[in-house]
Order: sequence, then C-alpha cells, then structure tokens
Amino acid sequence: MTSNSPRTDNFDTLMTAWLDADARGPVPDVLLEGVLARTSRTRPLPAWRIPERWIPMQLVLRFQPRMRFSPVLVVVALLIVAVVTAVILVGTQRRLPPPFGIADNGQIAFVEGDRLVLENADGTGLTVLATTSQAPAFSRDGTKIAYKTILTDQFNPDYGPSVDVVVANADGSYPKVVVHAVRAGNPLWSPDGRWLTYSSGENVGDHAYVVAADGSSAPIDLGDFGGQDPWTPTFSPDSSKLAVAVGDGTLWIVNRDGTNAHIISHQDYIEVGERGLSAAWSPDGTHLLFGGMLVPDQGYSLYMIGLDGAPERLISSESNNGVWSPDGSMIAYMRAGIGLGPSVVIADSTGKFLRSLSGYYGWYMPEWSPDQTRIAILDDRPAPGNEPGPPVIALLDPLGKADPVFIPAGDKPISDEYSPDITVTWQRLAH
Amino acid sequence: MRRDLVERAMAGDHDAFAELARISIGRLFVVARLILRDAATAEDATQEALVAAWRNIRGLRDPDRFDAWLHRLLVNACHREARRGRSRGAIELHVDGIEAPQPDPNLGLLDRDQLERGFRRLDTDQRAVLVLHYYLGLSLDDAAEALGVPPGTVRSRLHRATQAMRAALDADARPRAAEGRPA
Repeated sequence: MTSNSPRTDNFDTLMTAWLDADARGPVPDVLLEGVLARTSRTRPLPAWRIPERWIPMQLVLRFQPRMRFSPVLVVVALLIVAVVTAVILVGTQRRLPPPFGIADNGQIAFVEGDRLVLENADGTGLTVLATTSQAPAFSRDGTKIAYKTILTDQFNPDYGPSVDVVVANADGSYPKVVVHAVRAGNPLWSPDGRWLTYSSGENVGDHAYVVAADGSSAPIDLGDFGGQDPWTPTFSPDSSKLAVAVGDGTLWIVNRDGTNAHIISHQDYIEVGERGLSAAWSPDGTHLLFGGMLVPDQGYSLYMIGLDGAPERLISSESNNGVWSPDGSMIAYMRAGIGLGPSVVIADSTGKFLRSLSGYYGWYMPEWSPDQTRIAILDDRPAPGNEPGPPVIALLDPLGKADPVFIPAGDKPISDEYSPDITVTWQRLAH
Repeated sequence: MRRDLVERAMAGDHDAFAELARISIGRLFVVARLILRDAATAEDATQEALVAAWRNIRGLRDPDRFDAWLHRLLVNACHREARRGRSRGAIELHVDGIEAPQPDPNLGLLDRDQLERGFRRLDTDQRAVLVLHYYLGLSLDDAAEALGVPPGTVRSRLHRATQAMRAALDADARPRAAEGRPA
C-alpha cells in the first residue's frame, strides 16, 4: 500500500501553479519577425502534395512524430540485415555431392511406357518428367537431368525417329534442347557436369560427340574410329577422356577433344559394349568393365581391362552390364540364369565373385543407389512363369540379406520401341 | 473571426497567416519553453512550427481545428529540437532578451526546485502531455489530438509522468536523517 505525502496530495494544483509561474515572461519580438520573414518568401504547398488531404487523419497521426535514425543505427540495421540474409542464403543453398563416393539417395527417374517419370525410391511421389522421352541420366551432382525426347513427326522407317537431347533441372523444370533433331543413343554426363556425350548418325552410331551441357557450343566429333561406328561413349572420372566401343569389336580411348584415339582391347571380339554404354570406368579411373562377344551368337562375357596396356581379364562368362559401386569396392553385373532371365551378381573390385542375388530379371544396366545399399534392376517379365506383364523395378540388397522391394514401372508390358537400356538413374545428394 | 483568418491563409493570404501567427506565437513559445526548458530552443521550435504551418496549411481539412493542428506541429518541432539538443550534448541556455520567469509567490523555492528537477527527468512526450494538460488545460482527448496519439496513450503517458513527478517530490521530501546524513 502506498500513501502520498501531504505535498503530493495537491499535485494538480502544485503542477498548474508551477507551470503558470514558469510560463510568465515576454516573448522575444524577433521571433514573430523571423517567422514572417521566412513565410513571406514562400507559398503554401499545393494541397495534393500534403498527405493529410487524402489520407485519413488517423493514419496520418501515426506518422507523427517521424523517426529520425542515427547513422550508427542505420549501419547496425544494415549489418543485421546482411548477416540474416547471408544465413538464409547459406542455409537454403543446396550442398552438392562429390562426383564419386558414397552419397545420399535422391529420387529415381525411369522410363514408364513412353514417358519419363520421377519418384521417390519407396515408390511414392510419382511425377511425370517428360512425355515421349527416353534415356534419363542425372548429373553426378544431382542438380540436372539429361534425356532425349522423341520427335514423333520426324520418323524414318529405316532408322527410327529423330530426337532432341535435352537438359533440365533435376525436377524436370526449365528443359533446354542441347542438340536438336539427331538420331542419338543415350546421352551421358561427364562427371564434372560440364559435358554430355552421345553417339549419333543415321544408324545411331555413325559418330560420337561431346557437347557442352548448357548447349553453349556446337558438338565436337570424336573422330571416325577407323571408319567404324562408335557406340555410346563414357567419360573417365576426370572428364578428360572417353571410352568408346566401336562396331568392329574394339574398345577405344579418346581425349575429349577427339585427339589421341587408340584401341585398348586386345582380343578379337565380334562385338563389344554394354547395353547402356560402351564401358564402365572404375571411380579411380584405372580400370574399365566391358562386355565382349568372342564367338558369334554365343552371348557376351564381362571383361575388366586396365589402362596400363595389359590385356583384359574375363570376369564372368555369359555376363554383361557391369557397373562399379559408388566407392569402387564392388561390381554388380548381370549373368545368365536358368532361362528365366539373368540374375544380379556381386563381385569385389577385382572381379572375384562374392554372391548372386536372388531373382531373375532383364538384361538391363543395373544401378547402384548412391548410398550403396541398393541395386535397382528392371524386370520386364515379372509375371509368374516369366510371362510378360507390367514391368517392375526391383531394389535389391547387394549384401543379399534383405528381401527385394518392387516398384511398379508402368501398367503395360515394355515395348521394343520404348525399351530402356538403363534401369533407372538415381539422383545423388550431398551426404 | 479566427475561422475566417484560417480560410484566408489556406487560400494563400499571407497577411491572414501573419495575423494568426501573431495571435498564436506567444502561447506556442511558452509551451515550447515549458517543454524544452530552454528559451533558445523554444524559439527555434516555435519558428519551425509556424513555418511548417504556413507551408502545410492547405493540408488542414477543418479550419476550426487550427489550434489543435498547430499544437501538434509545435510538439513535433519540440521533439526535433530535443533530439538535436541531445545530439549536440547539453542544451545551451540563452537568456538574451528574455526576462526570467516571475516566481509565483504561492510556490516555495523548494517546490519549484523539486518540480524542476523532477520535470527534467521526464522525456519530451511526458513533458508535452503535462504541459498541454496542466498549462493549456486541454482535456485528454484534446491533448491526444494535439499530440497525434490515441487518447489511451495520452492517459498512460500522463499517468507515468505524474507518478514520476510525485516520486521526485516524495523523494526530496524525505527526512534527511532517513538518508543517513546528519540533520
């Protein structure tokens, strides 16, 4: 409880008396003269320039008194804004994975009927990436995707349709045609994300090209490879060289600018190459996996060859489509089974057999998940008894412990026209 | 009569405005001096308020509210002068040509001293509301209009200012022995 002293009980009286007494005194004569001198030289502002004339008074009142900022406060405020902006930018800026090694799993893209779709690896969130398109390939940093779009109005009955090679953001937005109206194989990325390579010609493999992924330069012809047709090249890990499977059964290495083309394979193959690409580079760039057919109509076998000039080694007969795991410690490839389709086999980095995964699938390129815990493979005859049916993508455990997970990959049997070479492309995210 | 002068001034008649200024300038100067506690800065504030009035008089929508509008301009000018004084450091005292206020014989020297010290501790907003209410005798609603703030804000400012002044008076009125000093 508070009590006022007798002197503050008459506060109002005291205050009024004090102010009245303090107010006494003359007003300087010069004050009015000064006001009149200043106002006589100017005129009132026109009414339209005065906010009070057209803004409600209550709003105008809120503007009074106006704030006056000191320079120091303005600088501090600007610094705070700059710091907050920097934090937001850094926080929202996506980290990118390195081109090799273990990464986090992003989305998968694959061919479903005549369209490209994008979905989560658990089969949810399906979105259409592009229609009448094939051969999707995520860049190694996961930010872009390349594919080819079929130009249905440019169909050659002997060689099939022409295509546009397209690069889009990973979610399919902002597609840009990098190469227009060519008969191209699978467009594949350089690991540094700057280039695409593809083979193209009347019969798809007449020539091999490198083109800037942003379409800023004309395609570079990698040469004639002894007058033979090259098949979809693959970039070395440092993006400086390419491996090229050529139609006379030879495997070549060529610089990105088309120079120093030379044969590295030793045996006299009928054909070489894997289904989706010429050969698979090991992440350290020292070895290549490739399929080769030595005897006509006897099927492919999987070989490994180094760049040291030594001859290739047989990894597995009746096998093909070898791919390295993200960290290079393992190999996955397809091997013929008992007539129900090939199985997925896991080997170590030297090619030594480790295990065969359960199930029979199709002769497609398998795809490792970026975190190396799954292998995706397409089964185009999943019905009982190996009958044709709606295709599925199987996600297999490379350790052979977990049961496969199956994702629907379309509601119709796969037609030859839209049969993909590579099962899926798996987006890599920063670990 | 006043309305006629205001309307003529709004039409650009400087003579009419000069008459309005002559009528108002004494009150404005005193109010400014009471708020700012300094004659020179009060002169500046008064002059700035009247110049602003002339420049913006066509923004006045109701000529009958000329005085309230002028008070708002003056209080805003006092705010600017007070900030300018703070940025300069201490406010200088100018007494040339101005006679010292005449003391009220009913007020003791001690009261004036305590009120002065208490009042100087208040900020400009609190001083303004005390002056408008106790010196000009404006109601809280009229003071709110003059200050350009809601009536509730004026009430709270007046309450805080009054409390501060009472506290100043009470503190100075305490027996000196209570402060541990010899009587």
